[in-house]
Amino acid sequence: MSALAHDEVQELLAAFADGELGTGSREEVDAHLSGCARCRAALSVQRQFHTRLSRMHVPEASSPLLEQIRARLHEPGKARARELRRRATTWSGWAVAAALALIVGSGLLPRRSAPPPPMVVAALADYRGHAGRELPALATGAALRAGLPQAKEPLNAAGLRLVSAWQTTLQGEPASVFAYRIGDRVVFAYVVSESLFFRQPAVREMVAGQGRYVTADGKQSVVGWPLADSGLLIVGDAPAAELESLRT
Amino acid sequence: MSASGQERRFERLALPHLSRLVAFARRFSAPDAEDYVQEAFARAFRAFDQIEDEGAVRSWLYRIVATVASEDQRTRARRRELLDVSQLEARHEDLVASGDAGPLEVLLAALSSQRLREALDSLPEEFSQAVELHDLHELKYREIAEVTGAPIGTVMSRISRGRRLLAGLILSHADEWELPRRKGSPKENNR
Repeated sequence: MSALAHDEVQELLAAFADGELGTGSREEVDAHLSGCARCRAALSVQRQFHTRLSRMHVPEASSPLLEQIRARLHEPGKARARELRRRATTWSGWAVAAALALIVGSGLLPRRSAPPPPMVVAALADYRGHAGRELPALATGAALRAGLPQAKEPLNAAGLRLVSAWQTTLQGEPASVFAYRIGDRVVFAYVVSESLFFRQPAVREMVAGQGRYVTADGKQSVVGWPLADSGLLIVGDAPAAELESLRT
Repeated sequence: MSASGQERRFERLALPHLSRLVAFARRFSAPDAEDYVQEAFARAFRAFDQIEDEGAVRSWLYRIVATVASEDQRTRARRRELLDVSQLEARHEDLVASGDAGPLEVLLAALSSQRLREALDSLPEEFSQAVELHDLHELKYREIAEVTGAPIGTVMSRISRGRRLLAGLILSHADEWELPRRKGSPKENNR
């Protein structure tokens, strides 16, 4: 088996040891193990740690905590909201927006379908407006920086190549657009201001719960997440999971 | 569902995870762990009537705890000690190159749980968290993917690598921690 295959097996050994591999992968790893003493020893390391760590004691939560939680479940909703708002004011940055949303937010929750927020609708319209048209020429260096409100490239995943960048307007505010080619697709990355990104309640809610915003509209998917001092939306004719995989 | 019915359902499905959630929250900040879990339970209860898949409650609760903790600037300010990850990988490679992981078994048998816990906590967050969620909290890989938002292939890789790094860390510190070595096994080579 090639050196690369050996490396790949290394990354699968935990799942093999833990019974988390599908049949096909399990058989491939099994075949490799029969001829590789190094991987058999590495598998033993994986099993030793699982056995030892799984025996470690997890302490019981304190009784007062259980009582505090039960008491809190009985609190009137307004009191809870006030408390959360008060606490939120002592937090900073993204956390404030997240906490003010007063949400739980999780992809595990069955969500009623809701129309995308205005910023996302604008990004989708902008994306569709460029479909089938020639993209602006790619400026580089100082020219690129001078022409864009947010000039730092937001994506650097392997296999991505920047083909164009320009300024657009979303909800009346300037935004940078970076068009990336990946395989035979082109996806657009919109970098918007922090305030625009978090003005959208649906975005706040999902980011607070899941760490990112995800929606789909027709053939297009949109995935977004906060950057250090701005917000990012990726739009493309691809499943949301594929767009999300561009996050590095 | 009536308010009392919702509370009973919440107690039945969520409260059994309380101790493990507190243990998980300690990895973000031990002094604040119970506050994080209390806040997470309050949020979870408000949305509990939307939960249909009761089998998803566990990973959902872990995710909320992680969200609450990561919102707290005290957690954000926390920094792990920087480890030389490549050196730890190399120590693991030295071990498995012999085709015999027995020396590690001897070290692990002598290692205290507290020291093992400290070793786990000193790993880079993504590896440490994935190993802890599986080995200590018994979450399936699919559930860890849901908690962390990482693809399941990444979860597999993180757990494999996390345990390798743990092995490297323990091998590197065996003498410092005064762990017994198997007769004939190599001493720390100060690579």
